[in-house]
Amino acid sequence: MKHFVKLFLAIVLVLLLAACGSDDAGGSSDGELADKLYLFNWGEYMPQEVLDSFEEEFGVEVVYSTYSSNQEMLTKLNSGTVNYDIVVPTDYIVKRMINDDLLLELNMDNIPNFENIQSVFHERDFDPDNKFSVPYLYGSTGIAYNTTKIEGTPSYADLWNEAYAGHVTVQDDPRESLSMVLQTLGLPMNDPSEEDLQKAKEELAKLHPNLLAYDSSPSAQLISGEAWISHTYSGEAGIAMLENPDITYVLPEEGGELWMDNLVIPKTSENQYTAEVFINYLLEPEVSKQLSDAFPYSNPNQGALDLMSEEERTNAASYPPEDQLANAQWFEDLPPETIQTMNRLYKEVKVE
Amino acid sequence: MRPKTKKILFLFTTLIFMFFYIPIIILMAFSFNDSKVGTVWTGFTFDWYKSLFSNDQIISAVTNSLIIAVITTLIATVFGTLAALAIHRYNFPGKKAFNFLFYIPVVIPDIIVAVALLALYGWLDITLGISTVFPGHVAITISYVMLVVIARLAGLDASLEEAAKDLGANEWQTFWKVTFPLIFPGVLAGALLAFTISLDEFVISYFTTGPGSDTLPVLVYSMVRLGVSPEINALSTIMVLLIVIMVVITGRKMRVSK
Repeated sequence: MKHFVKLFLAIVLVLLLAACGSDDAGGSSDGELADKLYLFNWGEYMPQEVLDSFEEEFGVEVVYSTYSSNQEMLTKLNSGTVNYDIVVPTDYIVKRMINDDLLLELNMDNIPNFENIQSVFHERDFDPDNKFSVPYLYGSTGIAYNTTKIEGTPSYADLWNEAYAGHVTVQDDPRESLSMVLQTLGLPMNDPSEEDLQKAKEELAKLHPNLLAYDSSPSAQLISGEAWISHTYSGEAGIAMLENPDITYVLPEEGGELWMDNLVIPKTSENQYTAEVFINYLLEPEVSKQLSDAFPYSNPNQGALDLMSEEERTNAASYPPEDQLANAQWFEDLPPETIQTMNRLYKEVKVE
Repeated sequence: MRPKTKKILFLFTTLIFMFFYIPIIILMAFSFNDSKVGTVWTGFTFDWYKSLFSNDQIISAVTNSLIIAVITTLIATVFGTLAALAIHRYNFPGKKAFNFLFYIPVVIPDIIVAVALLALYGWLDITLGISTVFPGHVAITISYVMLVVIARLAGLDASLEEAAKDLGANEWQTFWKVTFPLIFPGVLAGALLAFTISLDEFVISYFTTGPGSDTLPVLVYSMVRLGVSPEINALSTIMVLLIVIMVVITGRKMRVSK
């Protein structure tokens, strides 16, 4: 019996340790700012100055923490252990969160700066009525290439060009690489059949003699001149372009892929008004420009674009021409079975 | 030893040490590299150290990691040592089962501890923060401390304690004047083990940190989206130096206590 008592005491101790941290933040009603705002964002995605100046201007302490994947964010959110006020999911995750009834409807009266967002990015497929999400930053996957080695404007099909053997890199990610092949073959990227995927796998295997590597961060190889043509993120291309002026970026004629991260307020938030004030603050042109100045992603905020220099605004990696943007495709949420098939085929093709 | 054997052994040892330390030396060298992209050397700079010390997020993650590691070490060392003493000295019903329970955290995958804790916190409505990280860390490190201390106790000559009692020392005095100094190297080794495990523990921290309480490994992981920033190289360099200093000091202490 004595041991049970001890065991019980041990458990109580553990719980007490845990409970020390559960101090509540003051909630707030409409029109009144809370003391604290819980913001959960991707790592390396928001400069400290932006948070500091918000704290100074509004007297709200922003408790900032970072995550490394949409899945991590969803896990923490669904565990019900933290009441985050703002999270920043990617487009297709927004759709899933809307379907799962996880998001609060935004009160747009508190976010008048929404009109700064470029009209191309209003009414996106994943949130057709702009009810739940506000664009944060976006980017694309396309082709980064070395203009001294590649003639003309390359398309995805050029990755298979024998003249570039040994100097091609492809994203090291099942969905990214297979979607690229699907686009090249003219097959549906967001709703592929088993057969389509099999074809894509075979086509990807044919690319192997040309490959330098499967690499999701080929900027170093592009800079050193080892890689001539890379299927990669616009952000990676941007990094390479800064250090090697011969590198440029294009969304290929097959399309290329777009992604966008979005500010949303989870249903569990207790500070909706404060969160909306913060979102509105982030949409100020000056503030928004700080975001894309600090990190190599593209800014959907017209106000911020107007503040940029001509050179920044026409940077091929960050701001592709509008016709290319319109031609590119958004990633959509796939059923788990399709994702599993993709993972399996990708593994198979890599060991070949 | 034949000269040829000697040569081969020398070569072999050198290769092993190169395998251990070349990556760390490269990492340290690139913390002084002018370029943001890791692999091309463009010039010498201290900029990354400067920006490291002005990066609030990194500094707060280091502080969190150190606080968690220190407190975890204290709790795990005290309770691990007590448990080791109890199991070594006394016979009580259920001792075997008790002993076995202490081995489980060593072999159980961290991810299970992590998910279980997250579910528990969710069920009890506990808000995640820095204090929710301790239970997981203590749970895994306490067993390591106990195992190390038990190994030390097993080599302990029981007649030394008996002699002390024979000469009139009470239990308390015997413990502090005889037993504890004898097992101290084991306790220290256990504490160091607990400290290092807690400091670079990732999986449990990943699931149990809350807003503003990211630990260093969790923060670094979330930062690699853009490739590892040279700031992290700078930070690693500082940490490697600190650990070298710590090892040297404890090495000296150990020699003195012998």
